[in-house]
Amino acid sequence: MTRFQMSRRTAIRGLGCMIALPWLEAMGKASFGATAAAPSPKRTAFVFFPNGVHRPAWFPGAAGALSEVATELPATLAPLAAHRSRLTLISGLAHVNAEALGDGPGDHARSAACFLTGAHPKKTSGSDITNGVSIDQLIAQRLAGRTRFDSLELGLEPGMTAGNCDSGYSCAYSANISWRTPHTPMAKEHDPRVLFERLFAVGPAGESDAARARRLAARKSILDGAREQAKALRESLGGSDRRKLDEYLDGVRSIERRIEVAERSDAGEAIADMPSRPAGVPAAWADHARLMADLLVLAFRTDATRVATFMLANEGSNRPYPDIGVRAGHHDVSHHARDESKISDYARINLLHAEQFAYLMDRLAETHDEQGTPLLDSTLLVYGGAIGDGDRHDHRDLPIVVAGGTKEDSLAAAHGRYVATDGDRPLCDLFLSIAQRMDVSLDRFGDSRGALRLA
Amino acid sequence: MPPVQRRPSNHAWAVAIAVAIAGTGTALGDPPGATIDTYCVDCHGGHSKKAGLDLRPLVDNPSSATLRSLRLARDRIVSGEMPPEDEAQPSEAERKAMASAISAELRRREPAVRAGRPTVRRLNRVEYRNSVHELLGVDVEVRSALPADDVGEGFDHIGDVLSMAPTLLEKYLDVAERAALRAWPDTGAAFEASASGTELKLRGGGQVNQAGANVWSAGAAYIECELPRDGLYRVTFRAFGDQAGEEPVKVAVRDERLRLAHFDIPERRREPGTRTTSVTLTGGVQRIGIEFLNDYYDESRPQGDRDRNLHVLSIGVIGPIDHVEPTAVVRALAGDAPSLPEFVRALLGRAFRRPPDEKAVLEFVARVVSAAGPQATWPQQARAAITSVLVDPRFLFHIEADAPVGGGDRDLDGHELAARLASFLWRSMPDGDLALEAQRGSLATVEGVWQAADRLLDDPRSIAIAEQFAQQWLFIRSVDERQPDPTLFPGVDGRLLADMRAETTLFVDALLREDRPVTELLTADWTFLNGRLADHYGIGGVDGDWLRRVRFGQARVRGLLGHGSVLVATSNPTRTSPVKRGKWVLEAMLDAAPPPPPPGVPLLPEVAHDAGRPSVRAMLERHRADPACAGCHRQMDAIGLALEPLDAVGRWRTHDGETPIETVGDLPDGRRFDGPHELAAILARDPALIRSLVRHLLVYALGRPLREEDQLVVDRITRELDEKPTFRQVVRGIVASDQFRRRSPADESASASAETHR
Repeated sequence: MTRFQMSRRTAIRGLGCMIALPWLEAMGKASFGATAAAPSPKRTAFVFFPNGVHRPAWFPGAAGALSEVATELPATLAPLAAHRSRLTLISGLAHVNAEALGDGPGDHARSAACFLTGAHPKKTSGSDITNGVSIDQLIAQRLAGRTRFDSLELGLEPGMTAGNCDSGYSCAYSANISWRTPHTPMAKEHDPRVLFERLFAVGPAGESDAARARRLAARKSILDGAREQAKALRESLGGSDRRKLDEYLDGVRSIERRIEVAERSDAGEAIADMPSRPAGVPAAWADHARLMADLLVLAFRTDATRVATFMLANEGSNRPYPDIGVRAGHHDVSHHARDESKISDYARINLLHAEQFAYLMDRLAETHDEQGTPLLDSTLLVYGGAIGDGDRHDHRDLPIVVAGGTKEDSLAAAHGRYVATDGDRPLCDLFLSIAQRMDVSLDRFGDSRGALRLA
Repeated sequence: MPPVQRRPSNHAWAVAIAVAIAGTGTALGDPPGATIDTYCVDCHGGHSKKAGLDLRPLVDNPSSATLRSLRLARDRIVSGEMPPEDEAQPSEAERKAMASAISAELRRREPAVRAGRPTVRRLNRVEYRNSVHELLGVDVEVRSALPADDVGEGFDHIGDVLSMAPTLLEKYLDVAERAALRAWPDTGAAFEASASGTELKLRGGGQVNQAGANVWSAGAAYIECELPRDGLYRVTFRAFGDQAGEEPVKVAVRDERLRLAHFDIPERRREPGTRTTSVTLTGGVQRIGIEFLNDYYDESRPQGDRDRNLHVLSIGVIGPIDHVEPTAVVRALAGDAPSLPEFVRALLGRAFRRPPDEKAVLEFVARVVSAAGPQATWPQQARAAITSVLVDPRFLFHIEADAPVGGGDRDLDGHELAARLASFLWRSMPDGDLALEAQRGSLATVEGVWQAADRLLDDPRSIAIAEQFAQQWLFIRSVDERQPDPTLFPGVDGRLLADMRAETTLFVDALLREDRPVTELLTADWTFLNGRLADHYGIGGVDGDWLRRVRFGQARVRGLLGHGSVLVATSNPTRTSPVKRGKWVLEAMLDAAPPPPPPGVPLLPEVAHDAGRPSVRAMLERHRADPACAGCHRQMDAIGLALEPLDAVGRWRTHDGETPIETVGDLPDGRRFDGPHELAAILARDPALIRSLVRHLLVYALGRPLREEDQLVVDRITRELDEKPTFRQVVRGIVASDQFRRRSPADESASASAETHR
């Protein structure tokens, strides 16, 4: 097969065959001549998994260099062995605000809500959900406008659609880690086809330039009118109602900016082997996870965004994983009460999740951006969750991995090692460091005490 | 399990109640006030306010007691949970006196309850789909196009919870454009796509380069595009051949399935040829290809006449070029001689659920003209209008103006009421008739509202009550996504689980449509089955795919407790969960959701099915041993254990592994039962069942959380119903309430008197 170059505009126009997977193997290996001298933009992604870990299967016995022999690593970390030189395993980080603090049960809801916000979510199942702004959104808001999407939110499960989710907490808390405002979670996308269309198909595939220009112009006029209408309505309404209209207005601005960027972008940026549109959600969980990881890589590679979050499951998820022989639910086995068979199932799920993160690292390592640099160099990754021991629902000593970056990144200085922090160091300290690394100056974030230095 | 309060039946209490009703703000009176002082205030008052509950005001000045304290006290006294076993106990007569007096104080407060104020509420995706259908006669697929809506208070249309992430509006815009194109299709060439050079794609042997696609064995060069609809399209392509052998290059224009037109391409590289044909194509993403039909290679022939290949330089698709009528609904909106202002006036009136004023029409017309462009044809303008309407905040949000701050509640006007009715009973917008009734003022009286509600319930669109309300109320909406362990439960797949959900949906819909007593939820000896589901339940004589009504007599547990949907939704993938089932009954049927377990409580170890281990019952007995657990688990476990003869996928069984199942249980108030049949009968008699339905349906009707004072309205609606009310009567009670028909000013929800119910 001959490889050919394709302009982004062409790519946007010509997408379409409904095959889910074959292109994925081919996609990442393309490299570009390093034509531009400009440095790669800095990128960051947060990958979340729910229900904590079985600590003995996660943390090595002692701090220090991570063994390069997979079998010498704790079982659930084995998939990461090949990447040990590109990651740091950290223990001792804590999220105090995920604790009850007088609010009673609901650790799962609080964990997802707190994971990237460091905030203590308000316990409510209905009105007035209130959390903090998440670190990815804070970074995205400061970098706003440089890419077609300020941020992307990926997941493998839709938002929950039935019942109260956790002990009186709104489902919005368990199903979202990315929060644009304290009241507005960023709904995540779990359907690869929809995500792909959002990323690349600005309109129907195959649309001509003229038709597209007409449609974008029409959209702008329609949005102008909608904005005036929403502003007028907003003036006539009270507090909580205004917030709804504010969200609407944010939506208008967001589309307008994407139209502008779409109009500006022109033939010139080349993408090799542009993949085709996925057909939908693959039946097998791991296929789904890898496909979403592929799309995340693609989004970074085409510089559609520089900030992303990815939830491998909603917090408290009780789905079984029959493909790897785990027939009981994830949440059920996380409360193993030292039952050996449950611990084994629990560890297998953690392992499966770690494999997906390893896959994402693989793809980032072998895929180059337009500057010719491997994406893993420009991307700083966080892998983890805000429950430590799943059996006990604690929020200290959290399972956290920092990965990617180059020697210039201070957060990459300890790669290849297991670093034990002092035990109740806020996870927010790490986020503060990541913000700095993204050139976003923040004095504090959540319950941070000071930027975390890894060495 | 708190049954509702009992009526006063003794002269002494009646006097006490009369004092309370008089609302003099004096003490609750003797004997009830003194009794409360004696039995309750030691723990709940003064320095010690256990559970945050202060009952002192109840004794001193009942009108200053909070609603929460009154309701809690009454419910706990009636259920016998309080005072605790190890404290001095009041006599039965004293208990009744306290409960009645507190109930009387609660009733005294009913007239002062404010109507409340739902937050501006975005249409959820079901309402969006239904409204677009109502407005345009177009079906849009929302399950993949729009994200799932967040759930609050158990339902997915609660205004406070339905936020609007920035990406959502763009999704609405995408859907709106597609809907507009289908509502008023274009007969001109609205869509055009073309590909040339490297934009072409290739199937089969060959290569693609800057010049185009070279097909050198059986295969095709093709273009991928997303066609706006089914219809006739003009396909044009430019090609030439490397000619060889006896015949020229032959090609076919084809889509995914069929060859649609055939051509000879005798042209050579020097002068490529162009061909055009009109073909019928299916809407959506399509590959339209030029297929090479007669590959030829003969090494024995001279160079230049040896190898026949096809070269495709470009492919273009334009269309649809056939004439398709707009939908009947949209044509009716436009009238016979469409003019933009007339169309906009009609469209806005329906879409925004109230007649527009002239200024709004003019503004909107200007917006449409600007969006469609100066040379726009009428269908282009119509589409621009439709797209604009579908993303307008007045369509996307339910907006009701607030009553003036500082004033009282106001009556909703007819249009607002019509919107609420259609939303409640259809999860859609008002149809033309309802809009007309609103316009005429027919909804100004309770009788008018009832008449409208009856008509809406008679309409097939009220299936929304079963599909949207019941599926969420009963926690069975996503039951088809459950994954029971296939090795333990072979054959229980997504299709069977979807059948189960359909069973319950059709069952509730039949109750509603036939106006049957609500208690049949738990007593019906009929349900809806198809062959698969009947086999699964072990009921004979039902074949085929379609679910139909089956009377099963004694062959199955009656009512919802025998529905696979409920039983699977309350089980784990590998086993039943008596605790989840008990919790389901308390939460859905009796509206007495137990509080979450206190922090730090370890879960019970999993019980394997092998012999030698303790039975589930024995494990759960440990709940009773621990006072921290016993309070709630006594009820939950007893109820759940009664359902143990139904396994994790809803089949009847007599043993759990090796252990025979025991099903005898009792409730804290002494009611005993043995097995699911008796449990269902007891629940069906419990007045809490009716109240639970009223409470859940009121939240669903209002799209907002209930405040503490709304509970008084739930009490009143429940009280005023017949003993065996029908679903329809419950709906009538709700739509007649002030909560449904009136609205409070903006400052109401912030006022100090508002207590949130939780």
